[in-house]
Amino acid sequence: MADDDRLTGEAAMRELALDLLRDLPCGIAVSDPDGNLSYVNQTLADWLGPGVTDLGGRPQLSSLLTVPGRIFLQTHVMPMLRIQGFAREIACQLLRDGGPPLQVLLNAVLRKDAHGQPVRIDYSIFDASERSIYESQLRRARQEAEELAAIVRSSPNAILRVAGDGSVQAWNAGAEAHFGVGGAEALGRPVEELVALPATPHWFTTRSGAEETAFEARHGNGCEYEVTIAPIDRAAKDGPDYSVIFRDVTDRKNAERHLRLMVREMDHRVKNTLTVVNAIARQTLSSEQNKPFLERLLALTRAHDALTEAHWDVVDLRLLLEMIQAEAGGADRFSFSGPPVTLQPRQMTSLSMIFHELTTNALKYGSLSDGQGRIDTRHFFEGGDRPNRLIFEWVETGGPPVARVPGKSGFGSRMIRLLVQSEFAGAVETEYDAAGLRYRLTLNFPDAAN
Amino acid sequence: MTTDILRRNNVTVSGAGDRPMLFAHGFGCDQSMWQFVAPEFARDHKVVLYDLTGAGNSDLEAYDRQRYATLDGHADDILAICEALNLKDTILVGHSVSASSSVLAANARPDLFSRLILVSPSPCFLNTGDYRGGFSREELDGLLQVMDENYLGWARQMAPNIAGQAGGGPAADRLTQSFCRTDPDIASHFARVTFLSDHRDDLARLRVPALALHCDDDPIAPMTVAGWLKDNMPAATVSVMQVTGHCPHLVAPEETVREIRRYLDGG
Repeated sequence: MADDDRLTGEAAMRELALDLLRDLPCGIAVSDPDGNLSYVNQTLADWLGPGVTDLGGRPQLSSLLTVPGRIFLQTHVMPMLRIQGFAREIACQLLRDGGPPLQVLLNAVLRKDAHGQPVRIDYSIFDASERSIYESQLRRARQEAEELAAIVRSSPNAILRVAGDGSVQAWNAGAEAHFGVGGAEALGRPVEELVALPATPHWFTTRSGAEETAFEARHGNGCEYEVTIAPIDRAAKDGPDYSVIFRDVTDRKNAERHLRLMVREMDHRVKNTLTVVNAIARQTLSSEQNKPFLERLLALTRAHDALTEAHWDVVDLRLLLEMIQAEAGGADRFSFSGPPVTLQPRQMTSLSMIFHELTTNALKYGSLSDGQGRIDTRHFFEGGDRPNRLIFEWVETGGPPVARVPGKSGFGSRMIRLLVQSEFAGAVETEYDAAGLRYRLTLNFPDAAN
Repeated sequence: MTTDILRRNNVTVSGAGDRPMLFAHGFGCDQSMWQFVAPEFARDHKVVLYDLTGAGNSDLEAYDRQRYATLDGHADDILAICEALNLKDTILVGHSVSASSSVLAANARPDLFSRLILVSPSPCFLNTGDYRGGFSREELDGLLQVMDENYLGWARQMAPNIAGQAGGGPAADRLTQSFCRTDPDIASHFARVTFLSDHRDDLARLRVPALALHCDDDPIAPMTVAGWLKDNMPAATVSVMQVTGHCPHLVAPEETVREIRRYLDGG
């Protein structure tokens, strides 16, 4: 009776153990010491697929692995089993019947008999596909972080991470070189103390904020820096840290200063020259002759003044048209419409001379010569996908009847044509309409970004 | 210099005999690979074991990627150890890739060696032309890529896992840590050198008498390699053992010792 109970208990335990073994969520396999498999549990059989579960041919464990795993099994795992009796968490890939390889972690234990002779190897195999995805993401993230870190490390700019309270959290080699303080020494210290900007002692406290900000400042070391302060991770609970970047712009600032000096000097010389030319004309020509000349010279001087004001940078056509409007007597007498047109200094000078001639002519003989008439201009771009041809139309109305003077071309018209051709590779059309003169200028802007 | 290289390569000398027997382990392990075989020879030989530079307890700092870009660097190490210990008439035993390094050393200084024992040698792992080394280029590239990605995480991952393993006493710990210690970058570099080199010409040129021990069921060096050795290595006696695996000195140490003794006694 008692024996029967025990037997029943053993049989039940045995059945229970077999059930557990079959359904364990990990693969279990057993092989002889050479790796010839004698048992695989259901989980492992399911992973491998139907083609592999038939163990009639006693497959080798290594035949279930991809080549790298096979090589490692022979060069590492088998030696480990022989020398230390076990191998743990070997990452490898199981070949699957009709599917991509399965990433697994393999554990193995070598069992020995009473005489110390190896008798079998037991394997437990865990599905590591999720872990392997996580690991590859981790590896990628680490690689990206390392690349970024390398960029920061090797940057010639001083790049810092500063906490909201102004203490330095990171300090790259560039910062070390610029400010003469080593990385370890700088950590935790107030950034305004480490980087003193005499003109703005509280530069970090006053400028760090929710938005990125940039400014230029001179450092006690004599260098000038472009400083950018930008919050890192605005959503951080206890306020963001800031990336602070110092770019040495000393050379650029020196170049700018030099350029400003040159421009100022050139302005003086041009003005002096124009004054001298003016004086020569007054002394050389009769007053009747010198009047149109001096007016033209004045137009040139005004164009030059406008350019000086714009620091010899580009100006918009609008500026010129406003000058004519003032000369013509206001918006009642002169109107203009059209898109912005960026003029280089030379184009500006040429156009101002052209407009001076047209305006002078209108004041003398055209629609502005009495109190009635007016001038309306409009301009627009045309020409394909990247319109770079500016059409400028000048329409006079309400003035005295136009008397056409065939065959005669004055100095003004010749100058206009010359300037339009040489500066804009363009053309001028003149229409002697009874209602008033009309001009149509075709001006090419080959580099137009308009 | 002498003590430097002995320390650098963790050279150990033992045994009661005069005749030197120098053992070079293969890819992925260290000198403990010889622990079932070397003691058998210690009673009548001077047994010299060492760790390849970059493996086991060698000085990893000494692993110069230029010097070890080919097996010549490892062959030079063998010669340097012979010189440091003033070894003469040496029996040089090399496993797997170190069988090739041993041949390079013996070709450079045939006067230093009386016999070579090549355990599971493979002059070239790559299938090339009619030659069947066992692996296609794609398969080896796959292996090297896996190593570059450090996926198997060998080396560093292994050692901490010993903790808690039943039966792992202090001795086992020491053994395991040494045995498994490899820098993954070095392992990856050495794998490239091991699996992509072709030393068939060097093996064919060998003049020092040699025994090539081959396992008949070796997933790394298939029987086609043993066939090539028979046909192309006039200096070698090729002996095929009925053993599964690539490491007969571990899985069948008695038979391995018997084969080596028979060869040495016969020669």
